[in-house]
Amino acid sequence: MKKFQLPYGVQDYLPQECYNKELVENKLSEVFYKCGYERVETSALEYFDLFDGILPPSAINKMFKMTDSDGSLLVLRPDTTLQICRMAAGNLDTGEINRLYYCENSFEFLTDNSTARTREFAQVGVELLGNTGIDGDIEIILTAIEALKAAGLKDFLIDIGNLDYFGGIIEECGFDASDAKEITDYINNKDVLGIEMFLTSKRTEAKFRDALIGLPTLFGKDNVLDRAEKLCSNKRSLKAVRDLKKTVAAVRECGLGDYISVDLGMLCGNYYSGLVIRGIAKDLGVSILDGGRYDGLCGKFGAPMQAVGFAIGTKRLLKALENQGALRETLPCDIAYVQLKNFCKEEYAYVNEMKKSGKRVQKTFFTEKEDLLSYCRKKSVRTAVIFDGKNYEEIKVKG
Amino acid sequence: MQLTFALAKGRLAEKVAEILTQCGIDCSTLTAPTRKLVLFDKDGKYRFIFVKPADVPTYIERGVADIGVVGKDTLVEENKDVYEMADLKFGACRMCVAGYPERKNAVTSNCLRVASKYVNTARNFFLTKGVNVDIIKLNGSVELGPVIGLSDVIVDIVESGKTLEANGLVILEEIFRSSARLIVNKASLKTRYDEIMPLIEKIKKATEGKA
Repeated sequence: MKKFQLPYGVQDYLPQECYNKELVENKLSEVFYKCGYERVETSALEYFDLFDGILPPSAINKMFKMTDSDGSLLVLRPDTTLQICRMAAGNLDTGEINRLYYCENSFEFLTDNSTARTREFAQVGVELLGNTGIDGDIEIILTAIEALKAAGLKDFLIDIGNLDYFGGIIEECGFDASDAKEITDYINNKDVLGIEMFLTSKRTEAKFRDALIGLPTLFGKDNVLDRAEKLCSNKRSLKAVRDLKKTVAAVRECGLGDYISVDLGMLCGNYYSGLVIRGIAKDLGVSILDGGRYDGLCGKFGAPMQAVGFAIGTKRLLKALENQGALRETLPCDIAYVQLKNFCKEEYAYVNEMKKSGKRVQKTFFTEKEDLLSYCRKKSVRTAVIFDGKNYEEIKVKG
Repeated sequence: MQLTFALAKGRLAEKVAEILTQCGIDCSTLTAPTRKLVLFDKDGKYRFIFVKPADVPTYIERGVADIGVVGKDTLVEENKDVYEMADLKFGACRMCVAGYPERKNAVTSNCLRVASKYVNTARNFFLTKGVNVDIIKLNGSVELGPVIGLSDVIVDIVESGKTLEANGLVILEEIFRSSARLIVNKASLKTRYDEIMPLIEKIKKATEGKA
């Protein structure tokens, strides 16, 4: 038989995996729906020009591009959040609070086929648009915890940071964009030596040195925010710490303190502006959930408003669930039947009756009763039905 | 479950075993001759896996190993998404551009030919300098490149400089200094904080003040 290979970084979902994917997507959707979020779908194709100038070149390079018949450049959906900001302009009332969720595949153009990333990835995410402030941050973190719990995930953490802490310090230092980018990379990798060498080359003042070298150590469960407060003096950073303190305190009051930790050295994303969150599980080496506040982004599409949200990587969540032994087996049908003569309306009526009573019914195409019974035993189907024209016989099958 | 420690086969692993012993971990199994690729410490708290140096960051990034030791040269070349928690100081060397002191410019090669095992490092270095290059990937004996006329220069790690000297080559430029680094998976550091952080602190202490 001829076999086919897919391009790297994409996949088919076969029944067993697809069954679990659907279960998980439904559970997440239910959590979001109950919090008042409404589902949207976005187009898979967009004009490239929409994103050009809004995203950094590194992100622009990672878009799947193609040309339209009129020569304009198209991209495959790189990120649903960006599209929702585009959708907000003109379609949503920016003076109101809008709660939206989605369940969609996005695409990343990768050239390194040895990476752990995939080129097509399914995400389920929420966006809370409008003037929500810290209460919005809290809602998003609580929703993230509820969602992962509902999906059946155990031993996970939502890591919480705030980009304004770092932003305040580099603003004070007077670093330009390319310096800021370089030091961001070092801090993201907790590379203290790299930071030291960079600051030495820039002859940075001692008080900023301490703050920047301290940043990679500002993570964990306790005292992090108190330590952070002592390391800097500018207003923006201090406000970030105070906001985080309120947010963390609120989550702890809800009895969910075990699910959160803080990391001020987490400087992720291309467009986040304040709060950033990342969900990680003990049984998977990569993040499962990513999100944060993106107050400036809608404005770039002409609909200025605050916004905060997150996306869960469905495939990664499934992998973590599998590692925790929490995936389910697909269910067998309740009834399998054969028609030994020609199809008749009585057969159709019977099947409909069974379906109405909640049974899952499958027609098979065996010619012998014995073949049907052994099929039922193999597939754990509990009831076998043999139609001989209009008449039928039900047989209980023991496993 | 044990913490999984990824080690580069060879010298680096021996050095790490030494440090871990100083940290109070009985890993005598690591130094005994064996062909096993998975070993455990005496108390069964750690699992050690032996891999090629260039693969250490891959194992850590993908989370199948929690913590590992690898040279900065490999880390820069592989460019994986991991935390770099400490400089262990040993295994010091320099990533350099080397070649003949005077290069004769051939009319037909206005593009600098660079031979290296570290193709990404070389490409990025010349990119920031705005130099057009033709990168030639070699897997060993890189010094042969300029000697035999395959390339104009090489990008490679230099420890003593003896190999360069023996072949009449000199260091033209230093790209960065390398040494062994302790790297950690980004999720493990947070989700196994209580196991990993004390270990990192112990290892840092054991290597402090050493060159």
